[in-house]
Amino acid sequence: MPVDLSETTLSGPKVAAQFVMGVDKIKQSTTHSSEYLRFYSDDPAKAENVWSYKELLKDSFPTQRLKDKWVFIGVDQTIGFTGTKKDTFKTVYSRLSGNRWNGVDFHVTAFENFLSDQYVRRVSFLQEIFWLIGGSLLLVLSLLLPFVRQRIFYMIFLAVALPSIAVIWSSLASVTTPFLTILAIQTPVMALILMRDQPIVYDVFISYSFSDALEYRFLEPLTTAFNDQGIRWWLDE
Amino acid sequence: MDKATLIYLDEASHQELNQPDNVTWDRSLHAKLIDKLTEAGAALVYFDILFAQDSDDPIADQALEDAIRRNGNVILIAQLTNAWSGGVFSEQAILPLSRFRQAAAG
Repeated sequence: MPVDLSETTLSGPKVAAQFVMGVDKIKQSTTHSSEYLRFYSDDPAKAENVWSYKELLKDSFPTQRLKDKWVFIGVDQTIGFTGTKKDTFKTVYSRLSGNRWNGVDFHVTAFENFLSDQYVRRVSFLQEIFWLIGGSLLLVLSLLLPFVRQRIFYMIFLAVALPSIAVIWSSLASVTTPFLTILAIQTPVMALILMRDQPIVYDVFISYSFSDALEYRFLEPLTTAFNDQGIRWWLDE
Repeated sequence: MDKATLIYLDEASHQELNQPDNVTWDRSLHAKLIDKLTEAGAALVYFDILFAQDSDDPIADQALEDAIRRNGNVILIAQLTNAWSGGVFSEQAILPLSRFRQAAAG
């Protein structure tokens, strides 16, 4: 459910407060979930609207750029008690880039996911079964191709056979790996098109598929946490 | 992400503002920052910094509390810790000091 930000000027902090409590709960919850954090980029520091703390304290800082903004303040990885990296975590991009995110980067991303309802969602179990059975049927049908005599039926079968292989593949992928049917479906197509220039497509998929995905922060249920905190209910009011 | 703005306590800030790396930052700086954000009209200020203890400087703590209250839209984080002890899993939230909590929006 998208949230209209223009309506939340006054109530925004309340949403945020509930949200923060929700985030705390996320880490402890162990039940199955169908919502996952959507990462917007490999390196949030390169995004627009990112400032260094010192810049803000200067009189020359253009404060009008902060009007009506949601400002998140947190520690960047290079400082810490011993100068070591601190409060940083892996993302789906980490396997490729080696970058780790700061804690606050997750906060801002989760916040944005929540307010714009942009979580990555897994389809339901029934839908997965549907795709698996449907794909299998199509594949079997396509195997009958050589026995088809009429040209028009041949063309129809051909049009069916190619997608069916993709569907079979993605169905198997979504059942055998615990993540993201959508990603599994788009990956073979995207990978074929983009792999040379954009190895990240391939890598994101691999990262999601492997078990160390569990290491990622906030991968656990968001729905549960929000329901527990009554946030959805509160927003519906 | 056009509504969200990130502000880092990065290496450069750390050196330029002369903040020691083994103790908490001077909270009067945070206070100054919040006041600046209040003046700028930021809709929300979210601190991913845990204010769970008094710092060495009571005046700075007071300044921070006042700045948080003046802003009215400040969110502070809590930290959830957990541990296994004698086969029992326990969890505890480390909350910000109540003086900061009461001043903050959440």
